[in-house]
Amino acid sequence: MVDVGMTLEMVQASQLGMKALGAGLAVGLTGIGAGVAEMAIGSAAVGATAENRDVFGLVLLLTVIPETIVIFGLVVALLLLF
Amino acid sequence: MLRPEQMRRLLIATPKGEIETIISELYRHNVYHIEDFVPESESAEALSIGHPLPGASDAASALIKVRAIENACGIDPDNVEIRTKLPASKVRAMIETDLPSIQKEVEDLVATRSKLEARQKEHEQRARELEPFAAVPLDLELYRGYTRFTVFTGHIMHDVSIDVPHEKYFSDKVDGNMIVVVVANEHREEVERTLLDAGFQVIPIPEETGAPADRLAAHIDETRQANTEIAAVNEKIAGVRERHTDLLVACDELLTADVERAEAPLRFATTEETFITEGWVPGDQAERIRDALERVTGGRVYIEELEIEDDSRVPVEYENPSFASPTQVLMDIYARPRYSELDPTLMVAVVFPIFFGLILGDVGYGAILLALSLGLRKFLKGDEGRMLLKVLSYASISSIIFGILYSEFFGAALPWPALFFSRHLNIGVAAGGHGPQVAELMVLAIWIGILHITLGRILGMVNARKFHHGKHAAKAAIANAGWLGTMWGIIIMIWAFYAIPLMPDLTGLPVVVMGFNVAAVAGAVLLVAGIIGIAQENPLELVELPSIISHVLSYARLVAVGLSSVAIAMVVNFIAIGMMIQPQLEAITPVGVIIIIFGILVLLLGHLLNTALGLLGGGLHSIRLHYVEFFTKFYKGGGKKYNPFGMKSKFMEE
Amino acid sequence: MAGISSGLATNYIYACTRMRVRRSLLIPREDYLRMLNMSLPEITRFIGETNYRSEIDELGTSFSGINLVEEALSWNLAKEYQSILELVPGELKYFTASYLRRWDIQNVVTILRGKMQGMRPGKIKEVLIPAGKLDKIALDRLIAEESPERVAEALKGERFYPVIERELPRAMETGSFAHLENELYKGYYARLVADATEGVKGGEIFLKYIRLEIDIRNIQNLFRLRAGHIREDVRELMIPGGSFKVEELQRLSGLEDQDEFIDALKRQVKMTPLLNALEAIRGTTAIHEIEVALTRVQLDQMERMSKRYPFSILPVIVYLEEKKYEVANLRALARGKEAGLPGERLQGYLVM
Repeated sequence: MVDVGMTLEMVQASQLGMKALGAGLAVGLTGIGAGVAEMAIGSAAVGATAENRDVFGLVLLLTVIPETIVIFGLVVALLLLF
Repeated sequence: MLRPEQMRRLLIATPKGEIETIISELYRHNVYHIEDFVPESESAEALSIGHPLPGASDAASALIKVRAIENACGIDPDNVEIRTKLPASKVRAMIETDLPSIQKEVEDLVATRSKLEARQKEHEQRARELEPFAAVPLDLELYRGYTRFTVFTGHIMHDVSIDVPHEKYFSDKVDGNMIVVVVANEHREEVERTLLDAGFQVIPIPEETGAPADRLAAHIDETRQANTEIAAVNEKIAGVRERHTDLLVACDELLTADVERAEAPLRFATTEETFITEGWVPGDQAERIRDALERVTGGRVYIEELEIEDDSRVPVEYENPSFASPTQVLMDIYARPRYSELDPTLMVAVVFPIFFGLILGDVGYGAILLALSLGLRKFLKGDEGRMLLKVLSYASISSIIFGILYSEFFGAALPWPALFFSRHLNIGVAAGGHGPQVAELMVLAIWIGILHITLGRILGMVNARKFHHGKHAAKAAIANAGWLGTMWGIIIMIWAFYAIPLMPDLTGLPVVVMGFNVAAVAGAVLLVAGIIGIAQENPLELVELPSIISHVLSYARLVAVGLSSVAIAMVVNFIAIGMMIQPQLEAITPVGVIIIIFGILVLLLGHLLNTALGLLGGGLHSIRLHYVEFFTKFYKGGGKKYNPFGMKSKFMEE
Repeated sequence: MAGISSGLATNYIYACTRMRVRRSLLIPREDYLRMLNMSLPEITRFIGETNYRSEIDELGTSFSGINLVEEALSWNLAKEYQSILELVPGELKYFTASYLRRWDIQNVVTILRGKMQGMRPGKIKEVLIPAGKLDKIALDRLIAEESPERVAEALKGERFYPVIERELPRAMETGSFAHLENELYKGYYARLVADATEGVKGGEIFLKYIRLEIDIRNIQNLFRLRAGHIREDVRELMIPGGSFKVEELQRLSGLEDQDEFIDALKRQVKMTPLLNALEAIRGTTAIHEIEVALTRVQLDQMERMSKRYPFSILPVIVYLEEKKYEVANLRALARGKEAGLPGERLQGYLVM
């Protein structure tokens, strides 16, 4: 529904804005998702490391596994913007 | 290379009389990995755990003492720098002659110190108890010894007025205020109620005499004196450390070795007359050990080489070219390879720095990290830390190389255009340039993913033959091929429908059936064949199919994380240089100078933060791609560390 | 999963993971088997390279021989328990604290006994384990009192003071604190049940543990009474609150024949591991072996329960209990070695 009073430039600009908004949402929402997923893993990881430092590497790894979600978000954002 | 060091399994049996010779010979060679004997539960077998050699008890007692002394003096053998190596025979003699006197000295000092500490605490406690009373001008005797009067002493929220005959002192000079009330016994309860209403909290009356202020000063004085004495004792202990560290760590080492030798039979199986031990030696050492043992016992030893049955029991020692060996630390973090599987250390050693460089391709950051990894080497003592720093230095060199290719220096452009793909964003000063080639970079990352995963699956096929035997090995290998087929089937079908830059364009191929072209059909066939291949081993695995796509796409992080790092760098540059420093440089004013200094600060802090983020992002994401996306395709891990019986002398010489 | 997303749950995950990791670092069976063949100094050296390192090294300049081991074990246990009390969150802390009260009872009874027998304060202090609510300073103050009556007086305000007040005169008269101790433990368990049922979150899981503990203790006591040929009224000695009624236990204790007793007991229990263990101890007469077997059942059962409730009080209690037995094992080993007992004899006393 394009308003009659809108010029082509305005439409383009608002499309650009929508893109930026979408990119922001992609990163932000996936960030929240990754954060929620990492919360439990992270607390268990810190607990395990506090007792046995040898597992640090392994639990660090387990902690960053949900990071993929936010990476996907970042990829989508970048593809939207460029 | 690509395989751990070859191991041979030896069984050594000797009559009980030869056990000491055997143990010291094995210890000297430092190559025999003892497999600890564990008796099966409750089975009345003829084999049982051996008993320690006679000297074990004495050596253990002495060792406990030495460690206690080290602890009291604050010596940690792991962090002691080696100054001189003492000869072993001399150390042994000194354990007899010098150690007892050192022990006595340290024990006395520690005893004195703990007595002083007790005294200091006691006086501190007394002082704390007296403190509120010092605010009231009454001698301590006056608080006690009444039969007809009751004395209230304690903290209170505020002063109160009491309507019965009484004597009262109030002071707000101390924390929580202080009140002293003396009343006749018959008014006790109502006064107590009044006091309690004002939040009265009883303080016990100290068991002392005289003016509280004087007593308080006396106790504080005592505490101070005890403190100085403790400091003096600590100084003496430091003196002991200064004089005897070399000897103590050498004793520790010698006695540890003694105990280890004397307690070795605890790891052996025994019968009435003999000891039996199983263990592992590197392939090239087996003959030497065999000859040596036969020589020292005069042939009174039975050695047999056993078949390797269970590869999970074989100790694993890496065998890698020297440039790849620091990467072993990254392998150990995940899991040491099993004896029979491929050791991917070499591949990680090559690919990890490349991934790191792709993510953090910046000459400036690379140089900082390189300097950091070289500089920290002096301070880090542990082997693992040093190996990690080595890995970091390789990674930062790669980062510099990629920085030249990307033409990046702290986010700014170098004098040449990007030789590779540009990651320069349209931010601030650089605005209006070519812009980043995000799509191309993404495709590149996906390509890397496809190839890396393909390599992983091929290795999986190789490993399948090693983990399983006969029919199952074939099944496992086919399943791996199935995964590979499924992945490539999907990829070819995508190519058949969409033209993607930097990837083969198969959309133009002739149509065969139902509007699908040759490539699409071939891809579909490959996909179906792959799925059948996976299902024939375990149909449940099919639920994992989406992971094919997510794992390949996961490699996009090589670009995404890198671009965000570039973005941060450019934003920092824009804020600091473009918005703060440059406008002021055009016409310098006093306020401008301050803004410039502030801008420089922002610049430094921003890049410092980004270096840390880059190190974390580059390192973690690169290694994660290996662990999660690459290793899961072929790698099991779980090998035991090769830990030979013996010791490398650090503080002694033979 | 709803609980997991709340802020509280991450504390639980953190604390319970720590407990599980700590549990995995306890001394394994093979090491006990090796220690059975070692002498006292070798055992000391060995544990000095495990969790007990800092205590053995610290105390090595002031103590030696058996005293070093005993002191190090007590210190370590107390330190361990206090550190756990600090790290567990919210409700778990509440339950842990109420569980740890048992050490107060043990310490107070030890002090009362020591005072009664006129032991030196230093000697009493050596055997105390300040793991409960009464810390080192409070215990020192108790030790400094002259008589059992004064000790009791100083405990005014403690939860268990009424029991002491009621029972002490009789104990002083007969010279035996067994009854007092038993009453104290009955009070302790009653209090645990009350703490678990007063509506604090997670209490029902805690209650499961308490029930199990009471049952096993009662059964152990029944066996012990049989071994001592005590057939009188056992109602006084049994702890109420478990899945057995005290009357039932009384009836069980009346049975003469060991086989008959075990059969009757088996009809009452549902837990498979306990049934198996009861079957396995049918032929044994040595009371310590029966006790070890039953303790093992309790620990295994608790472990199983803690897997069902991975983020509850159970993983904490499992670790606390296993640690307690580890220390008890090492103490038994050290004392046995000191007394010159052979390893094979000692093995029967260890909970592995």
